[in-house]
Amino acid sequence: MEQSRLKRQESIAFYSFISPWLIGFIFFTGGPIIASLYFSLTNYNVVSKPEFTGFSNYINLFNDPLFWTSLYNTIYYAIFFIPLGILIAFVSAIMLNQEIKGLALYRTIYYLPSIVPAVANAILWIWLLNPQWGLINTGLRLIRIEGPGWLSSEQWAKPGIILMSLWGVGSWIIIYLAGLQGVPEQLYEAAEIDGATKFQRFIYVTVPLMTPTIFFTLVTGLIGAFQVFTQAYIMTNGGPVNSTLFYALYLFRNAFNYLKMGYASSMAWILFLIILSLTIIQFKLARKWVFYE
Amino acid sequence: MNKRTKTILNQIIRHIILAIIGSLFILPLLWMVSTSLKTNRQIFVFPPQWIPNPIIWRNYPDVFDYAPFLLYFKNTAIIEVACITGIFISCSLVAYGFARLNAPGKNFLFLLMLSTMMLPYQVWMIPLYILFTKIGWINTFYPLTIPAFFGSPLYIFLLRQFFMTIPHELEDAARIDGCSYFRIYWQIILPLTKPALATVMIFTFMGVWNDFLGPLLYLQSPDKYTLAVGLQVFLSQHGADWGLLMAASTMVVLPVIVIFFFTQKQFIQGIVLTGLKG
Amino acid sequence: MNKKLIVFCSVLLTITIVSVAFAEVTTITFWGWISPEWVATYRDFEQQYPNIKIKESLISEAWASTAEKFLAAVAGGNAPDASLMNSHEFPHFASLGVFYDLTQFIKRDKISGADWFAPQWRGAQFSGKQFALPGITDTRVTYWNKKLFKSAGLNPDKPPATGKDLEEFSSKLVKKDAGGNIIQYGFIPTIEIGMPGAGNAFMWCWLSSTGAKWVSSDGKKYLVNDPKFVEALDWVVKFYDKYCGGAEKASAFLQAGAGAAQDPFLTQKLAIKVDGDGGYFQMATIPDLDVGVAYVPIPDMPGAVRHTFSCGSMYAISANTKHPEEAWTFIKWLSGPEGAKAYAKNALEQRKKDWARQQLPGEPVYIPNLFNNRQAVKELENIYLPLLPTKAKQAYKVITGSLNHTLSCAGLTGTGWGLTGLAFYNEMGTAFQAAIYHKMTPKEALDNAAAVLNKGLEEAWKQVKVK
Repeated sequence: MEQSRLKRQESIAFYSFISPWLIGFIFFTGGPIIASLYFSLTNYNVVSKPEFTGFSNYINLFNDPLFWTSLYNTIYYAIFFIPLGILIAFVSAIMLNQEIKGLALYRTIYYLPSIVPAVANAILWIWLLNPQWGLINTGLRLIRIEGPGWLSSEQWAKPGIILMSLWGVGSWIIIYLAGLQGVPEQLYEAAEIDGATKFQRFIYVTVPLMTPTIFFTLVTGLIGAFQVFTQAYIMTNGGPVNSTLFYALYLFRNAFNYLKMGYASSMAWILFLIILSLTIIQFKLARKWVFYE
Repeated sequence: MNKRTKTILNQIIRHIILAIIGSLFILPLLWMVSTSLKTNRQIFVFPPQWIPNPIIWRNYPDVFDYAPFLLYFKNTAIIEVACITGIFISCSLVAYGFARLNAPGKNFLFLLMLSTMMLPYQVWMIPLYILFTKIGWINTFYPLTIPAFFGSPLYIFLLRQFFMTIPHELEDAARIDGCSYFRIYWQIILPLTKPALATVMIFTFMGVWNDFLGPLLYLQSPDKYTLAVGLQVFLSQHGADWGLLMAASTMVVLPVIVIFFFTQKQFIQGIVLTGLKG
Repeated sequence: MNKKLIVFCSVLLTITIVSVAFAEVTTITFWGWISPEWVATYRDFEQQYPNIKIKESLISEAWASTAEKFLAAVAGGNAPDASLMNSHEFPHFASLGVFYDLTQFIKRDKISGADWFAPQWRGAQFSGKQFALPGITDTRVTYWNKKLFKSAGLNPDKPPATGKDLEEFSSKLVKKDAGGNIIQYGFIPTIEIGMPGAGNAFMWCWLSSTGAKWVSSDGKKYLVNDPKFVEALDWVVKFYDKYCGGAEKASAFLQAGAGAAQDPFLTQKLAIKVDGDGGYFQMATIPDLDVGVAYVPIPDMPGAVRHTFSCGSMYAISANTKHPEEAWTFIKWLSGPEGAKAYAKNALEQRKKDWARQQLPGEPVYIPNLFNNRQAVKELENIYLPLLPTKAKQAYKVITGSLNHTLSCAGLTGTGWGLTGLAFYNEMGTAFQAAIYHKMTPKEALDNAAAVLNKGLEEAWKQVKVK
């Protein structure tokens, strides 16, 4: 009896606490999202009434070579970017968590690429990736490797964009830093007393306690990677020869360049299903490796 | 060698590594500042000259002559204060609910919340715009500020992760003492997760600062424009005056850098969880 | 006596009400650009027409798509009274009935098509109705670096006029380093999409100069795989291989200018380029850049005719506006000689400041933006040509002269970009790239583009609302 009263109290508290989001969802988000689901079943050019066409958008998508191309490009990007990004951000966070002078300055510098305007980053990338005199290819030449054409080459444009994106993992570094701050000092002390080496302390204290944050970047990283858009839009416009035509870019073109909002909506919902499935899988797997208190 | 030398050597090595990589990261900013102090004749040379000679300072005051930058700055500041406040309140409340309280339908709602991040914005921005039109919010700051008070799934998720790493014992003890859930949230959870909260606030700040599409869509009067939109005025249809544009861009970037640099010291550095009693 | 008084007072009252109504100020919303010279121009209009107030708003980033903001507004029911549209998007929007039919205004105010340069004027029409007035426009011309010509042993005053010239000059201008990499280019036939930084729309000029058309005369079919286009594209592919070190290297070279702050032409690493007229001012601010300006070159093919290319903007009134009359007065003024003179004067003020900021002495070299209204162009020339130094005078004459052989990217037929203008731009860009990267032969690439484009075109025609 007491139990169920307590449970009810907790439920009421739960719904009270999440009410801001719930209300916002009902009023602002839910309606437009349902509208877009409807649009995916129509021909809709935004300025006229949508014309119901059933599933024909979805059928046409499957027969659209650019749908497959853009999906492939996006999956390619996600597969490489997510693990590399997490690794690099994590290592950087560890390095930036040391006790050295000027730490605040270093952290600020490492966060800069996420702050400066795209055009400034573009300049940097041209200098790094330029096949003739860019730093990367010059460095490769020192070890006798002829660097590729990067953004000018069909095969290397995607890796080039992945490299550019890795630059912008500053926000993940910040999140990991916040996570590292939250690891209780006394756990390290206890481990040290038990004779653990620095490395062992890292593996058995730091990493497990960082799993919630790593999980966060994994889930949100995947959601973000599948919607990659900006660099391709600004720097390569999907080229060369559609090698950087990412899914979100093709979607954007259909929505606002070709005024095929219905078609774009069906693209969006297919992407949604893909991301949702992958996210559910990640949550199920999380029970095995994510360690909460 | 003795311990002290080893430590110093260690420090030096770390500095070297951090500095080498850091020098790459700082390159775009240096390029921006360098370009902002040049004339076209100095800009369009190859290889580029990093330190301009002579240094042209007048790009900076000219920015204010060209566009009402202070007005844009004020508008952006207003939206920032509203959003940071709204996000802080709403996201921490909702995150606490998802992190610590159980109820039927919780997992479904959590997944539903995450799902809203999975649908590309382009396909629901028009219906949302129409919604805002119907309630008369176009050409006001409301579409850019009020939604912050209803939470952002990304930040809710982030805070939920952090809240879930706090040891249960603290809250259990408080519950036994008769604390309400809200008091636990306010007096235990929030103080212990300052790094995460600071992170969310900094990200919110940056998001608002750089948001272009939102202000473009929802604001009609130029006297309401924000910095992100204001920058576009410099990219007029006859190409960019690079010195002027970089001066404007540098001034837009600088506050973010400064705020980031100083808030770090307040929240992220040196906060350490102290003991569990007993 | 009382009756007379009543009648007299009524008449007086009526006159008062009527004159108040006429003296009433109408405010119209206009979405366009809001840089200082434009804002000053809108205020100038208000001075000339005190009963109309303009509330201006930014429609998009410069030359970016106006679609997001404009379409959202139309969908939400709060479209502006008047707005600026990009020419290449215009026909598609117009076909959906979002604009006000200007035909009766044009008839009433006796505006003749002959007052305008034809391609852009026709591009503002749909189904025989006029939906916009062409505004600021641009053209493409050839720029060449006289100093580099001299060093290569070429006559610095003789621009390349044909494809053969481009080949011959490039072979002399190209410089390589010890490793065989090109460090100085002659000419690169740019296509803009995915290759930012060194001149746009050469491909449109080149292809249209073959004399062939890429849209059928009823606007229902893309003819992009016409044999003449295949031949012209083939020339481009061979040029890349012979004089540019291949498409990949040339693209990498151009990308060094991405964002244009390291523009290869301005840093004097590229000797010849075909680009818009707007770039001239920037070149004039670099004293040791000695530039010649000429018409675009034409292919060595029978039936070739010189064509350059204009995009630019259209001014349109929204279909559901409450103030069509005032909006019409505004766009008529803005696109005509009066608006042109006001804008040019305001732009010159800005250029004076820009010039001083560039630490340059004397008066700025100011070539006004091009308008599509013939009278406007003439009057601007009368005012500003005499103010220019000799070299710039010649450049100005070339730029305005090119309007006589220009084509427009707006337009449903011939060499307009067709109803699905942006799809055309994207697919052609992809086809060009496929060809120059040797992924497909020119014929395969253009055949493929034709198939994709025609499918989309068919769907788009089904959606048309204006009959």
